[in-house]
Amino acid sequence: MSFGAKVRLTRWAVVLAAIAALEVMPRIGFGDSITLIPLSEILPELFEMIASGEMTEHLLATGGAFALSFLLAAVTGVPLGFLLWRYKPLKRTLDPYLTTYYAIPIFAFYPLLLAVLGFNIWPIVFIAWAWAVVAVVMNTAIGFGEVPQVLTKVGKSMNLSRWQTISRIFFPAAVPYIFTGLKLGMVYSLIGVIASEFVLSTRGLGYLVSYSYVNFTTAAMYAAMLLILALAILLNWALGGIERRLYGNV
Amino acid sequence: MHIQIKDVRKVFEGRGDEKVEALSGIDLTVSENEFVAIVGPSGCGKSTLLEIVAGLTEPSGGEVLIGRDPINGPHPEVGIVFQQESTFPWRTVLENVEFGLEMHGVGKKERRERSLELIELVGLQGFEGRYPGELSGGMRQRVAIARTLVMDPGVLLMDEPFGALDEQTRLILGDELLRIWSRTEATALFITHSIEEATLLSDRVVVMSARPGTTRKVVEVDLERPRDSSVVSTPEFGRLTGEIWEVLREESMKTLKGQERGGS
Amino acid sequence: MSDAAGHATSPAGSGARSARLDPVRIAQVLFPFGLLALWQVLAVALGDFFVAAPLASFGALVEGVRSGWLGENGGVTLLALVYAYGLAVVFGVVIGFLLGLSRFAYAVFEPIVIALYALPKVALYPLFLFAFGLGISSQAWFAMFFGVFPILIFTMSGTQNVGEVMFKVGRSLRLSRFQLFRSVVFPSILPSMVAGLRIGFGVTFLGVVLSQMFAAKSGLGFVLIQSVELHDMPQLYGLVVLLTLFAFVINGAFMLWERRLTRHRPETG
Repeated sequence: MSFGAKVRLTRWAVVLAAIAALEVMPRIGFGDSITLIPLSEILPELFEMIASGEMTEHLLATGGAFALSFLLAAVTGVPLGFLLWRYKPLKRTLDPYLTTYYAIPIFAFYPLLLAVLGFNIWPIVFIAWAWAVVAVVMNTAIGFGEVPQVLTKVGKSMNLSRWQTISRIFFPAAVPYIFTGLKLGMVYSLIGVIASEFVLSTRGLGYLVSYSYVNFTTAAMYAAMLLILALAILLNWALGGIERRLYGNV
Repeated sequence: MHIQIKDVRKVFEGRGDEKVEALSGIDLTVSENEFVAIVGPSGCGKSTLLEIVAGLTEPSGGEVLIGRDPINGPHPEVGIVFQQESTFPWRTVLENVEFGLEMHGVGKKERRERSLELIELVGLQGFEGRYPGELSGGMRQRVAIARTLVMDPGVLLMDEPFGALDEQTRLILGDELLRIWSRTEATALFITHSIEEATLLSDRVVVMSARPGTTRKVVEVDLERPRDSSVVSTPEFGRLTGEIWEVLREESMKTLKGQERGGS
Repeated sequence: MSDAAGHATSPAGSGARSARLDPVRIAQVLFPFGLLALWQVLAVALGDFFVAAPLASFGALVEGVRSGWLGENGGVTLLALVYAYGLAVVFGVVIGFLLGLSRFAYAVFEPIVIALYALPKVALYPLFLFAFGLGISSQAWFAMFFGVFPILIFTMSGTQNVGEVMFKVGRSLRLSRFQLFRSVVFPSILPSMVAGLRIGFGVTFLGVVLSQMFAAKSGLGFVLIQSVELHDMPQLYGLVVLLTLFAFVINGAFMLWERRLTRHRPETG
């Protein structure tokens, strides 16, 4: 067996063992039986909640806030990253602040936004956007900065216009970096939405977890957790797949 | 189309008042359809000279003429191939070769026809739809050569195009280049640090001095054309490379000594 | 590119360009003051129902110190942070180092660990409440669960990247295992590990604040949520700025440490 095959096999074994543990541990009485529920009982609960339409409202709320915040992050982040690359003094000025950005507990701003904007979707979208956008900005700026000089020389030797150089050389060359930024932005948006909903809100999958916890409807809580994790894993997996296809050409 | 390099100088401004003289008064004329190779110790400014001819770098003094036109910016008759990886990884082989024509508004049908012709000339037929990432380094350089030649340049500049490849591949691609070049009417200026490659390819080999670069010696290569890499084993070839090495060795020693004095 | 750099060197007034004062440096120093000014403008423009003025917010913090709530709740947050970060460092460094030692273990676990890092782990907080009860332990273990991943990932890849040739050098000099670790392996891993410690600290801090916003009776996160309910804007703004500054200062200290470590090394891609 090749090294790669062995690695993949072991990795799957680890993942399956973890899933099996989620099933077995509650059954053999690890923890007490009210707080831990085996996987095989969570799944039917989840399907039941989806089928009955109980989940729809929360799924839509989370999905809407996620899509909105990510789109905003993409639409604002890429042009801002481009500007940052284009105007070096701006980039150099902001660099120390950008690199410390993710050290800031951005969620501390969430209560503030609630107080300012009210209990609706906007504080959630704003926090998720704020968390995602800087990753997009930084990766875009890095991507444009990392374009090999020889490619711009090729463009110059062919007498390309400034616009042609940017649209036909810089932009396509930066695409892998921009994609990485968007990928991170997507993951951060989702985390931002779920976390805000969890802390304080009136709808959404994150809210469903905290609501169920407070009301001791443990099965529903686990179902919501499972759905959140499944969606996040699916998202990461899909993004990984797209990335592999993108880089396959390079 | 011939190249005239007249007393070209280049001084780079370092930090503060520090100045580095890269080229001090180069004079060289490459006649129509001639193949001239330039060899020189590393850091002698040969790449800078080529970029000046390509209009990518401005000389500090002197001038370059392509045919009758003085150079101040890239000239449409001049094509250049770089040593570094310069194919576009997001375009297929065909799209890479079409690039220049596309940018200058040549119609789809015509640019496809001309590009396919060039792809065949460089021996890449069957790889039109592949991406550079799927090709070997030598094949990628052939794509870069085709992308330059498709513009039908009267002057072809090459900056160590096979410099990143191993010696055997380099000689074989040298054969290919001779075949391709004989089919074009281009005047060629070729930079390399391989004496054998220079001798194999060119009509004249210019040996440059250590920095600041000047032309130390010009060696006529009177080997018969068409030729291929089998000339490498002839005594005449050995005599020529020996003659070049004698000068180049001296200049390379100067460079090495300079570096050691510099302490880095 | 030269033409992009060309924009960089267009001085607004040539007199302002002295050799010592880099305009970028000046702009960097002025930036926080710009934000402060913007804050003041917004406070005036929007009114104190939405935006508390800087001075009022600062006053709320001073009042917090005087009446004791800031010290008390800040202490709880700090304690949870130290507890959580201690756990994250121990687990992250040890597990990361062990996984990084073997090429096989590294290949198996690297994608799993990175996938776990990217999950919205907040939703799992109730599990920690079940396991550790309401209080500081559940907060600390939850925040550890946030912060452990960057530390683990950076230590793991740092260990994995210690060149094979380094081990060969060590062996050829017949170093003992301990000597090999202390004098060859550890210094090689350190810069990457410190980067992990820095990022891990930020994420741990975030985890602590988040956990105290939910089902807590004390801590700065709890006070934040309370201020929303009371619509105490000066307190809210003051706390947010305080937490941000704290994170900024600690992160800066870590960055100085990183820079000292990498000072003599050639830059690598």
